[in-house]
Amino acid sequence: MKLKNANPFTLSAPNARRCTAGFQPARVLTIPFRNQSRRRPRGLTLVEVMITMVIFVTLAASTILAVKEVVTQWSLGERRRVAYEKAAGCIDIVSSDIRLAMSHEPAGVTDIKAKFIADFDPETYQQRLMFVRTFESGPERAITFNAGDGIDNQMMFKSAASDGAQAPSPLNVMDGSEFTGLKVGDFKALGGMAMIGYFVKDQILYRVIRAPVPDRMAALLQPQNGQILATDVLHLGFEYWGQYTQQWEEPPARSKIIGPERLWDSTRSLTVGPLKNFRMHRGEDSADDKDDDVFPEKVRLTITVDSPLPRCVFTKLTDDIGESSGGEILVDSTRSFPEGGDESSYILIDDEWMHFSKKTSESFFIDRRGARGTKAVGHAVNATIRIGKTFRRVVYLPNWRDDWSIDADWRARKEAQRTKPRTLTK
Amino acid sequence: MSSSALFTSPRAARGMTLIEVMISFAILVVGLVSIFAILNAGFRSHKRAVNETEASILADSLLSEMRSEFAHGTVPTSDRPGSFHENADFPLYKYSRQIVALEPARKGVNQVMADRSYFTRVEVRWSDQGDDKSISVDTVMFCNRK
Repeated sequence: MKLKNANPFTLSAPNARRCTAGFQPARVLTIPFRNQSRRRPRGLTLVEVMITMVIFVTLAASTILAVKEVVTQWSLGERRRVAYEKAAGCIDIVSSDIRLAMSHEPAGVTDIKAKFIADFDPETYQQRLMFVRTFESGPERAITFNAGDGIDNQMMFKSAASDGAQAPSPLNVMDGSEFTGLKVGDFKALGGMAMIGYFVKDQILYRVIRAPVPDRMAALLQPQNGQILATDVLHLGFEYWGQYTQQWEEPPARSKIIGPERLWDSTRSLTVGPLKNFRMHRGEDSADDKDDDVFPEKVRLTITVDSPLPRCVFTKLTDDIGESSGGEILVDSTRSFPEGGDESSYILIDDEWMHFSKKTSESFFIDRRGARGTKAVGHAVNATIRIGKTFRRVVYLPNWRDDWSIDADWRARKEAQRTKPRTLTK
Repeated sequence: MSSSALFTSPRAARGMTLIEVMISFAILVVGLVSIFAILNAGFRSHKRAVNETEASILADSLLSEMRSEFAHGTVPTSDRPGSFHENADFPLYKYSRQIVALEPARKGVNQVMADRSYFTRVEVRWSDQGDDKSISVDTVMFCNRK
C-alpha cells in the first residue's frame, strides 16, 4: 500500500460527507509501516508452536503434580505439628501435677482423707484422676494462697461483751478493739494444697483445680468446673505402677504376672463404684487410718490427640455393625491408617475403641471390641472412624507409698493400736 | 491489511525463536527447582522438630523410670556404648542409658552425697531418610541408699 499523503493523519472524506450536520467527521489513524509490503510477518511455525506446547504441558503437569504433593505434605505436616504440640503441652502439665502429688499432709492438716483417687466416669466409662498436690511456687500459687483454709473462722472476732453474748456482725465491727487479728494463714489453703482433677468429656480434656481441697472430689469433675486443656483428645489413659505391678504391658489372661493398676484409692476404704475392686482395698475402717494409705510409684500416661475434623485422618463406615460383631468391618478407605497389629493400632468409632490386626484398602480386621475401657456398642453406617496420634509418658512420684501392712511387725503394731480402747471420743 | 497492521508491530512480527522459548523455560525450571528445594528444606526441619519432640517425650519417660530405680536404691544398669534398645511405645526410636558413678574429685565435696551421685545420660536415636539423628539428656541423680 502506497500512501498518497505524506501526513500520516488523514481525514476520511467519504465518511465525513455521509454524516449529518452537527457531527464532526471521525478521524482515522493510520500509521505507515515501511516493512510490511516487502516482508510478510513471520510468527512461529506450526512445529515450533507444537514443540513449545509439548514442553509447556509437560512442565505444567509436573509443576501441578509437585505443587499438589507439596500441599498434601504440608497439610499432613501441619496436622502432625498441631497434634504434637497439643500432646506435648498436655503431657507437660499433667506430669508436673502428678509429680507433686501429695501423700503426707503437712503438720496440722488433718481433714483430707482421699488424696489420690483414680476411677472411671460412670457416664462415659473414661478414666479420670483426682489427687491433691501442693503449690509452693509457680503461677498457680495464687489459687492456694487466697483460697482460705476451708475452716470457719468463728474466733476471728471477739465480742467486747461478756462471754455468751451475741458477737456483733463482722461487717459492723472493723475497729481495733473488736478485731482479734486475722492470721495470714486464714487466707491460705492449708498446706498450700489444691485438688487437681483430670477427665475427658466429648473429646475435650479438662483440668479441675480447687482449693481448699473439697470433701467430695468426684462431684467437681464436671465441665463447668474445669479449664479446657485441649480439644480433640480421643483418649486419656492412666496406668499406675503399684506395689504388685511387675510390668507395664497387660499380661495375658490367666497369667500370674501382674500388670499395671487402672484403679487407685489411696484410702483403701471406698466402696463406691469400681473402687471396691482396687487390688489393695481393705475395708471401710481403713478410711481414718492414714498410715496405710498407698500411692503409686509411677504413672504411665497415654494420650491420643488429633487435629479437628475434617482436617485429620478419618474414614466412614459403609455398613452397620452390631454390638459384638468382630472380624472384618467395611469402610470408605483405609488410606493413611497404620497397617495394624501393634500397640498403636486402635481406631475410634463414635465412642468405642477397637483394636485391629490388619487392614485392606477398604476394611479393617477387628480383633478386640470395646478396647481402652470403652463399651462395645452398635454403630450405624457413616459413623466416623478416627485414629489420632498416641503418646506415652511415664511419670515418677517421689512421694509414692507402698502398703506397709505386709510387714508383719508393722501389722502387729497397727493391730494393737486398733484393738486398744480409745479414750478420746468426739 | 490494515487490521493486521493494528495487531502486529515490526518487532513482534519476528516472533520468538525456539531458543528464546527454551531459555525462558530453563529460567522457569531453575526458579521452580530452587523453590521446591526451599520447601523441601522446610519439610525436613519440620520433621526434625517433630522427631525431637517425640524423642524428648521418650527421654523424659526413661529418666522418670531411672529416677524411680534410684529411689529404690538400685542403680540402673548402664548400656554398653553403642548398644540401643527398642521401646514398644515409640517404635521408631531406640535408646541407650549411661550411668557413671561420680567420684568426689575435689576437696570439700560432701563424701556421702558424692558416693550416691550418678551421672546419667539418656540418648535417643532415630533414623531420618538414612541419616542417624539423636538427642541426649544428661543429668545427675542421687541414689536413695548406698
